[in-house]
Amino acid sequence: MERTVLRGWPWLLLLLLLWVSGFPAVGEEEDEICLLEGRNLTAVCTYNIMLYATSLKAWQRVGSQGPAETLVRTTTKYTDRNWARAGRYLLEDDPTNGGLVVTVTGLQRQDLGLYQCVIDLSPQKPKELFPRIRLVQCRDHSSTPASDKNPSRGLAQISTLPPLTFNTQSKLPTSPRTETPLLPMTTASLSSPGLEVNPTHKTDVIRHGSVCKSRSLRHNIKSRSLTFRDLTSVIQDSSAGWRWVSAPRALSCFVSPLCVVCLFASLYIGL
Amino acid sequence: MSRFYVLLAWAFAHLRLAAAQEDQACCGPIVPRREWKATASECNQTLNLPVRYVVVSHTAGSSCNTPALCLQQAQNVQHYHARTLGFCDVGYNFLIGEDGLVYEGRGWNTKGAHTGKFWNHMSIGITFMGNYMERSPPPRALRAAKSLLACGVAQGALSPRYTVKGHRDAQQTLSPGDQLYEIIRTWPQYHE
Repeated sequence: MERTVLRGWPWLLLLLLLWVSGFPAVGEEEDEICLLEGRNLTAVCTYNIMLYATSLKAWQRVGSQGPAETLVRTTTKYTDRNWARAGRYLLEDDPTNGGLVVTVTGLQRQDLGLYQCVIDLSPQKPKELFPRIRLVQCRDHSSTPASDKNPSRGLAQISTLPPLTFNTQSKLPTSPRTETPLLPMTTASLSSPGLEVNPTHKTDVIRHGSVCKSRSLRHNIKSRSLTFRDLTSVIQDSSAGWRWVSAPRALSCFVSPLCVVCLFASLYIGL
Repeated sequence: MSRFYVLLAWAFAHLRLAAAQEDQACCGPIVPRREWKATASECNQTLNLPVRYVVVSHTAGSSCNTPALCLQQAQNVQHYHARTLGFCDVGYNFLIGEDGLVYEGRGWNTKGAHTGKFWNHMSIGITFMGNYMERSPPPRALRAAKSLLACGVAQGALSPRYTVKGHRDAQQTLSPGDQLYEIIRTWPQYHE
């Protein structure tokens, strides 16, 4: 009995530490989309228009070694819209909204891999836009297209939206009541061939379930580390009022982990 | 031995519960919609949480420095968005007043209408009520915004590595004003 507990103790301690401190963030700069052969991929990259509104943009495949391969690249620098097509790749740059829409038609198995949007700053090194997009093999039921569940959703409709107008003085939001369709978190989707300009068709949207799952798991775990992070932020805050109001709360944040540690200690001694 | 595991499970369950409660406890006050007499929202599109971006804007309208005035101003903005522009609700997720209070707009879970088609679905839009081209928001308003964002991280609505953007970084606009823009560019979460 004694020996079993002692042998298990380091593992339990490790588990506890992981639980409290949170796992290190991995791959947050990369989104996964699962590939279905024959479908289209539509992805959006966002960028800072204060810096890159009139820069050339490109869509690249990132190899495991060597420089990234440019698949399609814009060649114009208009302030409202620029687009380029190269084979199966279509790139639409919308500098008024700070976004770049990439469409890859007729996905093939050999398209699996890592991709990125870049700002072409030649002769300087191009600037990568994050998150990158990784096309992976669809694995299970959770990553099948969501067209049956949410036929009205999909980025494919984006290209049918009317141009947005701006009030250069301000702040005005630009979406009317019939706002843009909800996009998947990765700002990417897969659509059936030829459907990208027809909003009445069903659009297959990959919800990349595995990614969402892993991210939400990470979130849950991270919320444990809140206890420590909160205290730090409270201490760093120079606002006197907030500090005094929050200090007891932040201290209370420590109570639970302390209880757990005490419990462990007493159990260890007791057993 | 089994007693040990039962107690272990209880301890972990307790920790989980406590952390959930602290998510709420560690946040500063937010003026709820009913308190500023917001009209009901007709929005039905949710955000996928946690989001990666926060877009900071200004309303370019009147500022307010008391709760009574800010309540009125929040109502004005909502009226303009919902009635005049035909949005499903006030466009922003949160509004910050110069009274140092945060006014709940669409909140953490609902997609806003503040920064156009590419950004709305992946960002929280917070706006400072006022025009900050020539002057800066008072420190209490800036503190309110920072507390709000820390709260967003604590609640899991914002990614712990969230990025702050100025409205003008994402759309052709002067928002959030020259002065406020310079301020948010000094925030550690701001990235070009």
